[in-house]
Amino acid sequence: MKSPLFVLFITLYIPLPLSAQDFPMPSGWSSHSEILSFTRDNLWEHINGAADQYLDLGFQDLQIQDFQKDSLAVSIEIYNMASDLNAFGIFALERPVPFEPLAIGSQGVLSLPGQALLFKNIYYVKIYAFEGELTETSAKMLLHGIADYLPGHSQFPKEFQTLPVLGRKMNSEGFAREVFLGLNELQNCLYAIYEDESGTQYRLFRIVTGSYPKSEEFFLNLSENWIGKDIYSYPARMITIPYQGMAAVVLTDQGLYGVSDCRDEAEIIKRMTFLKNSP
Amino acid sequence: MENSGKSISRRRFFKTGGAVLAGGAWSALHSQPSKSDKSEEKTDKIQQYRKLGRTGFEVSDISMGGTRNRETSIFRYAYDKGVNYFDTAEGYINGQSEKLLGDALKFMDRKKVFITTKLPIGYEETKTEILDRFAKCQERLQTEYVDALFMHSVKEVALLNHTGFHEAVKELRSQGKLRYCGVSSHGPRNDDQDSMEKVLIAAAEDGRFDALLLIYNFMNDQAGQNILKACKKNDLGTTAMKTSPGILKADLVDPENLTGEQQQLIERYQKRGMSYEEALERLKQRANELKEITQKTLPFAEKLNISSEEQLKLASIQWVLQNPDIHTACISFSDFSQVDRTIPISGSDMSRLDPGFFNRFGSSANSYYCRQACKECISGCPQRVPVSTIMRYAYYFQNQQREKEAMEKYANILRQNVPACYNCDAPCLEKCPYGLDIQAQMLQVHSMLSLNRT
Repeated sequence: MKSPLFVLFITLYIPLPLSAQDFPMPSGWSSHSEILSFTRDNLWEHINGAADQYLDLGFQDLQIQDFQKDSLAVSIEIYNMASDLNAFGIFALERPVPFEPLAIGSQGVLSLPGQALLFKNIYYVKIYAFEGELTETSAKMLLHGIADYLPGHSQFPKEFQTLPVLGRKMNSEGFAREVFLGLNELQNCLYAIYEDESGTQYRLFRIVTGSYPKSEEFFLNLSENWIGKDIYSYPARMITIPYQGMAAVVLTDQGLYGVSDCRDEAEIIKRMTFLKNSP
Repeated sequence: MENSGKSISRRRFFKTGGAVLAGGAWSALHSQPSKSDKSEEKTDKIQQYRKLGRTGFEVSDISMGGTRNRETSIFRYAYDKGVNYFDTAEGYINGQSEKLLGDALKFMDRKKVFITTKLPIGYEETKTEILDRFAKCQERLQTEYVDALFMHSVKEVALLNHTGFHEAVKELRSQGKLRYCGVSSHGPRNDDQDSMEKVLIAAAEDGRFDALLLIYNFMNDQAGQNILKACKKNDLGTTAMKTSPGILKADLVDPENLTGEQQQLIERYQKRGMSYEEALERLKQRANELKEITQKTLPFAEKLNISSEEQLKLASIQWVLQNPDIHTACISFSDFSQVDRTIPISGSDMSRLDPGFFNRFGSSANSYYCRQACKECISGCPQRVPVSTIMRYAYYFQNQQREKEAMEKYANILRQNVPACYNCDAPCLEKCPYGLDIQAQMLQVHSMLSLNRT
């Protein structure tokens, strides 16, 4: 039995739902639990140190409610990440590897019997089974229900269309908002893993700045650790990263492109051949 | 084609500024030290190891937590700097943090590192379920044994007696898969639960636990001391987390002149159903909370002559380490420069602090550490830009909350053509005796003080 103090705390703690609508109630499920809500200031109370990655990726608020159907009880967590790139970023970090993507929301994935994940628009959703086990059917039904409820588009973030397609490994994309490759200079980087004909892997990335002047400013502000070079007539900067080989950032008319995990300068140039054909 | 638009937000500016200087710090530590600067040379690696209580393991005074790290290479980099204690958890990045650490372990001498992971335990959980979860942790960590398994974020003393956990630990120890066990606590979530102090003192006196992970910093000294006293008496290992909670400055809420971030928060509260007045009240409440933290921070900062958030972070860690009953301070490194900036604190003695310490390490990350009245660079500037004067205005803006005055003063000298720095070869760089990247800083300061009015 909860004390009156606890009830008062909950009342103060969770003032309102995410929007004017109620938390989504999956068809055929019931809930007798409160809706818990967390913000940037207290997310750690729910997930402890794991909150750091969420905060780094722009987390705004979280709503949680528990649901029951027969012997299965689940907790549904809806994270508002403020942008579709951020929502995708945390989804990409936390999804199992390897995984089978589902066309639910922008993308969904099952990690049975305990968990199902999806992201849609600015939302990242985690479903946990805390009593009983999720099956493929029950997990997909829940994911569909939540995805239908959440507002906004179900597209994959459009920024990824600007990454080259040739050699890109399926479902290897990710997004780093604060730090990429262990360099805090590299922020707002979307990336994917690529593989050449010999099976060697490397990463291509784009730095999202929003405008050419900002890209130029970003490029000029790269620290002295970066060595200036031209690649296919575009200004470029290269750097050696501990244990990771060389990386480069190139300033093009379309913005900033980058490559990492290269042995040497020749490999960087080879990996960036797609720039030769760019307008 | 990217969108047009030249404005740069203040927030973005600060991030960029920090990044540039942080990169500089990395460079400085990788370059050859000058003959006269022996102290920097010797502080490139961990200087002190402390016995982790009854485990007997000598751990680096600075350790690494995996909450923010995304790269195997950061774990390796810290290890090569002498860090030998790594903390992770099942819940960090949904287990991916353990995987990253496991990948890094292949490049380490396993016997020389201490690996901890953590599992939140529910009252109903059975020994078998805990063993299953531990097996998955071990699989991700790719190691034959884990040094310590912690009950994660315990909020009630009663949980310390969890039968399934203790039986699982006993079995794992007998199988050689686990050496020690411990408890972490962040405090209660509601009034029904117990304080961190109560939970961890009970854990220290329980007799079955070998190490504790506690919040310890200059703001919770008394509670921390009480826990550490119990640990010392019972010979438990101690790891400090959340070592740097302070902030130097909190934005005030002026309804007539809200910052961009405040405006966004108001809009978000309104989307959640609040009226404008309610949202504003909530914002003020939040600002007051931050102000309270600032007020707790300022005496500490003033005592140590701290003027930047970076200095504050470093000094806060150093404050924690001055207590010999803390065996290691766990820092969540996410990038190389952060490792470089923090490692020099290892083994340093706060009571005998060299007055130049923060200038060398803390201030190397202070974006505006341009010496006033120094005009060495002017002779190298084709536009005769008054660099030290402009940097002083930036200091007014950033550190003294004199934004308007700083911008007005800057507007008065704007005719002196700072935007020309964009296309300049920067001969000033060779003239600065302190090695500042003047051109980059001028461009950033220009964006801040003019709101990019080119």
